[in-house]
Amino acid sequence: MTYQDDIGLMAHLMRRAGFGASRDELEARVAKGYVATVEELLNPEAQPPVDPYELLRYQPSALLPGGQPPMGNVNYMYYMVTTKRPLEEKMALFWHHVLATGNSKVDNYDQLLEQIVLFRHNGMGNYRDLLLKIAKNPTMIFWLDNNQNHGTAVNENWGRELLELFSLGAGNYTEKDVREASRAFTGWTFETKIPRLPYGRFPWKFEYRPEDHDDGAKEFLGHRGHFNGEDIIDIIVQQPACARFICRHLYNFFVADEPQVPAWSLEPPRDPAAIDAMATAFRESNYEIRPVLRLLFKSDFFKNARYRHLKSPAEVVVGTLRLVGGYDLPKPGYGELSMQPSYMGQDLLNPPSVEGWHTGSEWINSGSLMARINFVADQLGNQSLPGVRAIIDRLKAKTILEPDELVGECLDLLGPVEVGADTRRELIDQARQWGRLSWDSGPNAQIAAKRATEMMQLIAATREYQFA
Amino acid sequence: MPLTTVSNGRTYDWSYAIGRAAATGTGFNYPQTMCLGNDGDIFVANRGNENNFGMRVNRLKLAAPGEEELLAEFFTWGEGDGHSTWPFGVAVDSHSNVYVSDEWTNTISVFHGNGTFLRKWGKTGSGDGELLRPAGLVCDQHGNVIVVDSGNNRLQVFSGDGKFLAKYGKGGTGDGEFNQPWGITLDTAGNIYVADWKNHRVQKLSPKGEFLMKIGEYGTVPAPADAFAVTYLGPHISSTLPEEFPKAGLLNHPTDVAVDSDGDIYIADWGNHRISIFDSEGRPLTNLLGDAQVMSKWGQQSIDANPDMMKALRRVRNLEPQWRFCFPTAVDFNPKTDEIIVADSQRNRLQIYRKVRDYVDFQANL
Amino acid sequence: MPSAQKDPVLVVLQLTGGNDYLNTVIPYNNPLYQDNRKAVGIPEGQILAFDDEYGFPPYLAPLKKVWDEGKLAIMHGVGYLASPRSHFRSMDIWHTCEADKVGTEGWLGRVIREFDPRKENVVTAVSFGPCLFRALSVPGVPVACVAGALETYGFLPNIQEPTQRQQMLERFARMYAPIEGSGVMEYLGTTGLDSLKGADILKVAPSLYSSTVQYPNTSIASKLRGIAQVHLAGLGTRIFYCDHGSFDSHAGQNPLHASLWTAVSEGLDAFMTDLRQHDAADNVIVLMFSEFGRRVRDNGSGTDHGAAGATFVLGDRVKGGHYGEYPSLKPEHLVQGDLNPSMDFRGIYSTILDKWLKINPALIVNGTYEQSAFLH
Repeated sequence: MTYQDDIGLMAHLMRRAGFGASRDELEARVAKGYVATVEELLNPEAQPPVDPYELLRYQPSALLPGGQPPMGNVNYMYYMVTTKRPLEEKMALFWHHVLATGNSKVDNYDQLLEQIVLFRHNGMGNYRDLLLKIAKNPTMIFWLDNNQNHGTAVNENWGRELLELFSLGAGNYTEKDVREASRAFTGWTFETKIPRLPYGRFPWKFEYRPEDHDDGAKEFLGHRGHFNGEDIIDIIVQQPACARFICRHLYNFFVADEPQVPAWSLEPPRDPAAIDAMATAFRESNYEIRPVLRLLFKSDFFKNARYRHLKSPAEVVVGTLRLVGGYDLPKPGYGELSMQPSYMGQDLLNPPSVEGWHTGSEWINSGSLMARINFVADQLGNQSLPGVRAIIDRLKAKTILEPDELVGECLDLLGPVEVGADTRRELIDQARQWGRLSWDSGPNAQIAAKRATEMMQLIAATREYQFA
Repeated sequence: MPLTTVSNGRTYDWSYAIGRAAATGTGFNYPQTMCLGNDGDIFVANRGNENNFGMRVNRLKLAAPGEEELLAEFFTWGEGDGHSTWPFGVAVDSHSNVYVSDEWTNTISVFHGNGTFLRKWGKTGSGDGELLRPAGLVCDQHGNVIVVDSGNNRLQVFSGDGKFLAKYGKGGTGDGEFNQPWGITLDTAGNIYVADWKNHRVQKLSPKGEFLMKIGEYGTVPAPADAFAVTYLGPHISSTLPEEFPKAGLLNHPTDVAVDSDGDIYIADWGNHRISIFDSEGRPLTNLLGDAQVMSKWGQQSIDANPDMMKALRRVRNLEPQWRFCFPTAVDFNPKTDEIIVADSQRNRLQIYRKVRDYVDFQANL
Repeated sequence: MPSAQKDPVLVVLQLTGGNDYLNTVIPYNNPLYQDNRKAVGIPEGQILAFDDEYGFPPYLAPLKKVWDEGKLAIMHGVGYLASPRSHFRSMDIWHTCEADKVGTEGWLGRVIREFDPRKENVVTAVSFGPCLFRALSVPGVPVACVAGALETYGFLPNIQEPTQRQQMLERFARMYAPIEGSGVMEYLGTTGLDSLKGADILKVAPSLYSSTVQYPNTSIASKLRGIAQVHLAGLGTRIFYCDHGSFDSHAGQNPLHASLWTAVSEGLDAFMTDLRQHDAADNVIVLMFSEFGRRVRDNGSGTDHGAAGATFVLGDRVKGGHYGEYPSLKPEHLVQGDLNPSMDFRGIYSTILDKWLKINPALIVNGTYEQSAFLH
């Protein structure tokens, strides 16, 4: 493999396991090696966490932001943009996609942020433990009405989604299983919280009410007993369908776009062998997520999946902000920045439904495409940003750039981005309009820098750039 | 938890709370600092949020419980003279001119006490007289203003019209060095106390800026197993609070300091959600945790207008989280009334205690 | 000047944040009004009475004019059962017509799909705002979203030199040439070209537009001006959407409410005058709603989240007047301190769908609701 291949592969890893990386970071990581980088990503504890006190000093309202945007989004965006633990943050986003809970009903960004913290801390750990934690998470309990699930009057919302969307997938259980699972979770609720007026938000606290729990005998997925919720989760994770379902989610998120979840019971995975390998690792490790991710990132199916994943709006926005730099301080304007994913169709902390977001090509419509292209172009066109300066400085080091060199260098430094022959021809034709760029004098350097940012904007507008 | 704290020969009695969450008018929006005026009034600098509301300095009349009044609001969000982006510090001189800092535009603005804009100065940078994220500030007895120049990790002294006079300190962890300092206060002798935020300590400097003393080191006590976290950063309310929770003398990102007429020192131990009290030598005395068991006047108006809030309140099993400080940012001592005033930032209220000098204990067999 | 087409057009103006019903349509003769509004009540001397019972605050003077012309319908006590008092949830209910579950399709998105099932006109709906309002959102249904000024709407607005820009956009068109059978690349190609086409079509509108009407210098007025420009250009747009806010007046309500409504009512005044001067007003109605009303009793500075509110429909073809009943302010009739909704918002939608847009309402609002007679 050439050095350029190493950079390309590292860039691929960082786009998927994180939110991309600057060229400086990629070079440092290549020097460290691919396997060592995968291990570093899988063991985030070695890197410092985001400093929440720094955020609170400058944006105190990001702690308990209540029901109105954008302060909750500011909090989440600040973590994604500044984290030194990219995979930890990416896994939090993954679980936010899968165990989707939304502000539209919860009306408490603080509670949703608390859930993100839960995902951040447990996202690479044991899946069974995570399911149990989310079953006891008051935000989820409210979102799926388990506080209305009583021993004498069963509400099946949580029980159904637990099986359909959070663990097994449609077709792997019966209506009776839904009923019995729901019965097992009766009495799992929360304490009355201190109301938000007049001093702001207070959290919910999980509460188990034995007197509201149906302790009768239940029959669930072939097992019989006086099951409580925890027993149900233990039975769920043992199902072969569970490992396949979670691994298919991981594949869709990290490797290549799958059809939307409702189609999974009808359409086989695009790479059944990959799912099988991951599912085996999952079961053998007793439902640990980390070994599955290790297998995934080291696999050929991952390494060969470059640009087979359409970037989610969060990936577009966070990736761009990390590339262009200058957003370490939670500065004024973060509010508008943190709402950008919602303008592109991904309202973070407020997915459209419990099904989460539809991914892949469903991110794209005529409005969202314009929003994503213009956002990236806007940032890349801003020469005052340190990351943009760093790219220009690298171009400048070449002293003179012929049109095809300008295109080649810009594509390289923005990815490397791989484009089709037709796209490359258009880019080069544009560069030819400008002629050779030179940094030999002040005025020429100014023009050259401007043209370089325009070329980057045109690249950001390509179809190929929409993929990661 | 008691409303009256008796410890080391001192008695602190919780008096009342003022405020509620409000973007404008009768309430607060994330106070960063505050300052007593000359006429029983107080100025509070509110940070606001990214919807660009809430930013302002409000001036309140303090009297007996329930007699608080909003007197003026100024330095609201906006561009141009008299407006702010990120309000931070507020200080009042003996002529009742009000000095405020904006840590985004790196300027100091001066207002008349009634809120009329007078002048401003400030330029971004690290040279003499230049500012980077100016935080707390204080007026000395000569009419000068000492500014916590937090991004440059130093103090700068300006004349009242903005002329650079002196600077003290630099970045670091040694004596007289700072790491993102926040609030500042003076004692009656003119000694300077600075909340050295990211060094988790308070430093005392002479009026000429020489290092004299430091108080505190970094520390938090792990949340007990049965803790109920008000936010994931605390405060952690627990039925099994250890006596020393959090242990005295340990500070977590202190934001402000006040000195009373006896020389006792009050530190806003922001990240530990308490006011830590030390004697003049820096020995720990006790902690105040927040005791707002009685609703503030304006808070009660909100409850009265929203019957479902009252219903919920009456069903809550444990109201303790509502009494406690949540990231208190500022503390002041009023020598005329012996009141300790605490800006309870995340709860958008002030909690007021009184230092009781003539406290007579009651019969123990009541 | 091309003549505006005469298909019926709906303009939605969303009053985001929860507009205070009681201080917008003031029951000034009801003693309970002043009793409950000690801090934010509008003094009787300032109220613009329009009959014996109700009046507007002074800053709604331009809307009073529309009322006097008989072209303003006021729908009273609008809401739905079990109002959640959350901005998001309430707005979602208004947008999706789903009061009991989380809906995924916007009601106007469905309307657009009915109007243009084959997506022949990418500007059937134009939204003025940074995001796609959920009301317009149905997967696969194109909506043009104008975030800034109409004049700069399009791809790569940063590249401003005209020839440079022209070249870049031509390249964009070539780079997005759909490659048949290429799956997602083909879809991206079609979408990119649709979007480019929408921008090309819309950017013509300002250049065709000329008017003597001066719009006030407010964000809502410039959105309404953009709507007028697109409407007058005759591009076949049937649905326009814009919003103004935030009406979330928890604190310091009176100056806030005054400045918001001044902007809205003056903007609407300019908009209606503009359309009339161009003889393009008679096929336009404006629906103005907010996600909820506010508490009956003020909190000493503002008002908190409530339930029933007022909804307005105005236009030359609107039959002005009161519709429905103002809910009782008596303590025993309040629900958790709120006005009890007496009219379902889906009935208003149904009337507009049935009598104006000529679409079967049941398809859009998921049910049959009682209509009001506010359209001629």
